[in-house]
Amino acid sequence: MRKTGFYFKLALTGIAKNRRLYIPFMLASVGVAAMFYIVACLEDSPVIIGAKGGRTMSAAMSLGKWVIGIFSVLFLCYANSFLIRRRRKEFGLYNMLGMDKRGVGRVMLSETAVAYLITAAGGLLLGIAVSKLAEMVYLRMTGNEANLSAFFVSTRAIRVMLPLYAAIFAFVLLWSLIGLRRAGAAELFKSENFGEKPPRANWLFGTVGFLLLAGGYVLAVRITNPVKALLWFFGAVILVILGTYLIFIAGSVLVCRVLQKNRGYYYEKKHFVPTAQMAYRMKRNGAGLASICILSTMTLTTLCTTATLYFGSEDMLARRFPRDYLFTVWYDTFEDLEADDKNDMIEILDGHFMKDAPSERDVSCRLAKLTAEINDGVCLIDTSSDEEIDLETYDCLYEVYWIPAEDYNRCAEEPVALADDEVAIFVTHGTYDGDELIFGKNRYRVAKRLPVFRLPVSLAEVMLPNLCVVVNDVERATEDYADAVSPGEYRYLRWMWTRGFDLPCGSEKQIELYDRYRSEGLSYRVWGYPEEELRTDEGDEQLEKSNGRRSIVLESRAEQKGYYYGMYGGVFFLGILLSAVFLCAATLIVYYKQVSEGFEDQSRFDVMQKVGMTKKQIKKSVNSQIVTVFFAPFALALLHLCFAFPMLKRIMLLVQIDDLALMLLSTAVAAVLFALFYFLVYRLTARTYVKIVASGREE
Amino acid sequence: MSLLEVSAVGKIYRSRFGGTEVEALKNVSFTVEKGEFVAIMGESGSGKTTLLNILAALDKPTSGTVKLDGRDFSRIKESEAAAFRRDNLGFVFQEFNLLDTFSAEDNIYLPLVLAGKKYAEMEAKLTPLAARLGLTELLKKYPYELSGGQKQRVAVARALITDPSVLLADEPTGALDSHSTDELLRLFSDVNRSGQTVLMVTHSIKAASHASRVLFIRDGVVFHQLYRGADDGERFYVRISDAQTALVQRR
Repeated sequence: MRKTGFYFKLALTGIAKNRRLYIPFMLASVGVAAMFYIVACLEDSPVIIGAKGGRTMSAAMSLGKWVIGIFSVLFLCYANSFLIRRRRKEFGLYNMLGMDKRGVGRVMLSETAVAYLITAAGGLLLGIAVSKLAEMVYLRMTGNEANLSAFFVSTRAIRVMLPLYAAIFAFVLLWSLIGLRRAGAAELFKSENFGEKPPRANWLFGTVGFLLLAGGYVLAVRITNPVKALLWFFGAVILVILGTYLIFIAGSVLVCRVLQKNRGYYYEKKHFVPTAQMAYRMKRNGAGLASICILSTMTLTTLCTTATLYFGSEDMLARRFPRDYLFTVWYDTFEDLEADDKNDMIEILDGHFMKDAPSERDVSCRLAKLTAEINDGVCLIDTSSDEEIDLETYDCLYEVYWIPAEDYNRCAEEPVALADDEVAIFVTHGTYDGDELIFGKNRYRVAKRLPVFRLPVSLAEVMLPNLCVVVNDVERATEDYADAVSPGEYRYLRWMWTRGFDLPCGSEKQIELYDRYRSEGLSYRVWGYPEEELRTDEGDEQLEKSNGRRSIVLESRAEQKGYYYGMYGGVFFLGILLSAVFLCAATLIVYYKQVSEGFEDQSRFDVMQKVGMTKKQIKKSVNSQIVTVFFAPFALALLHLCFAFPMLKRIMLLVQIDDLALMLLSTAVAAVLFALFYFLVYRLTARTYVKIVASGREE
Repeated sequence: MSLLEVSAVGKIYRSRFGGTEVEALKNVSFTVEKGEFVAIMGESGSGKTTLLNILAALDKPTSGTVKLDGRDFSRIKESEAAAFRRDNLGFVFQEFNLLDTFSAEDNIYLPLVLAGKKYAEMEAKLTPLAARLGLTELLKKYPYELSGGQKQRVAVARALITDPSVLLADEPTGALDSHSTDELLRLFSDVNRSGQTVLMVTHSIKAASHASRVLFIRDGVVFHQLYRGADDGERFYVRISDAQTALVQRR
């Protein structure tokens, strides 16, 4: 028992003596653990689940939780390996003084136990303290009412977090113990010493690194198909990650060696010392720098995409719901559409919604809709696959809408005048460049490209670009598609009648009206059911009693808005949390990098002075190296971001965001914020570096 | 005029708040003529390292002057000191002080690069020097691949490549085995015979016996000096040994 106390004491003094290394480690691990708890807690929080879009958010949090979990493993392993490397000499000394490896192992065990206890306790306290704040920020961002009263502590989150981090720390300890077993006492004692081998230029790895990176960049820039972009994005990410690691580890040394071969450059006062030392610096720090670079890139891309989603959701909403209310009736044929006089529906809608206030921008129109493939102007029904969109044909797939010119002119502010063989078109995102459109045997000239399209139609519901075609005779334009696929099957020509209108009564009232419409069974009356059969829940079995109406949908923008904000606000929120975790890790790696460089430069500083460099010269040379090493990952991260940008932009098309300005703005803001943070970290950690170098000189 | 004139040099270290004072050097005076090989001997704590630091312009004396070629450099500014060291002095240290990031060749070039010399000029200087020190084959190697003796020869080459007025050596044999020690001392004698002034701080009698003159320093003053005269190495060794024993006994 007394022995255990002894090892424990040694562990505590070990930690206290190395507080310069341990305090940042503890802070970072507490931070990551707290973040894990917060995300896991929000997943369970009743307030969030009850909020609009909360269920989606809860699912996203569940995923985010494991991202943080996996990340914790990698990150704590890295940090620990650094700690152990720094402390090997101390352990070697214990070993030399007669403590066997089992004893050293026990010291390590005790230290890990202490580290775990602090992480668990600190992480839990901080997590619980901040989780309420996080919850309120989330509610605020998603347009929900902040709920101040309920303070929720998730026991489930605690039950997941404590064992998870225990397992991670156990794994980390196991790893250190294996390293200890392998090393001999003399080796332990020596491993911090100088006289290491010079880094060799590894041509293979260096070149492969540059090639991989180039490959990733080419992928990112060349793929124009948004669906392919989404699929290949991860391929490109992996190429870039591998490339980054190889470049920092091998490529950087390679560059130094090539520079050294160039005598005119190398044997120059300014370049001589930095070039030679840089190779060593990079060899030691390569992996750390690559990690910083990848983490920075992750932070930047996460922030820029989630911010774009969040701030673009208003736009998405406006496109999806061009009016406060959107009423759509689907028909199988044009005859059904024309045969239905729709008066009953109009009457019910008017009676329910326009009782108190008149509607505005209240218009209706007829449309035909078909998912089609357009090649050289020839429009074909896409029958290539069932539910999924075919990758190979994605580039020429469109959601085609035909609108009678008569209806268009009734709705639009600027009417169009078309000849019978002419069409006016509008494309939501993506383009259609052809001058002609051929629908079966009918050939049309694209007479006009409409700049805006403000019809009461919900556009851009799916990933495909929407092609809206205004034509005088819709029936003739679509005649060859009408019987090609029988009704009810996938991708047949469908007809719709839509009515959209605004109600100037505020969103709360709008939602109330909408809810009443549903709960009072008005939707069933719209279907044409007699009063006595009205039901308050929906049932598919009644579909056949529908006067040729296949289905009827009423949507309210105000009601949907909550879900949009809930979802994209949640995504943005999660993006911010994840970024915070990445930043936390990047900061620790930066700090450790500065510390290790400080220790290495201590002795070099002295020698350089003795061989005739002034303090100023040395400082200048060392500074230039430190700055290069520090900002290289950031610079490369920015480059990564620039190349990722076109790809991200295309992926954003899939969620109907086609707003270059917004995306550039969120990227720029993210980059500037990140740069400020990074610079701050630099200033703070540089101080530690200077302290270490100076303390070496006093000895 | 002597090459190096040290007159009445004293050095007092004060603790930061002026509490305690340590007098490392009391009153040291001696001169070194051009082409001499002078060894300074003394026990640990005798003040010899302080003296060497002052001679190397790494530290400033509290009193007295140090002149090289008639120029007093004891009050030189730190920014000028580095250039002064580079142009006039060559250093050999006990711990070699090679930069492990450089190959042997680049370690030797370092002072020249710092002085802004062209590569062709540097190469022209290195080739004969490396041949003289038996380093030709080792130039491309890195410090970690060299033995102690080899490292010290690289350090000597680095010290000599600037053609310094004085070669300052601080316990140059301290980290070497006996074979390497002999080799290095022979090298110093050779260098000295070709006209190089050498000033060596050591506590090794063997090392000192290669010098033409030995100064004994104790308690911050030059206590005694011995000239080699016509003695061979072995006889001089015995005389130094006797002198040292006598000095210790007289205490």
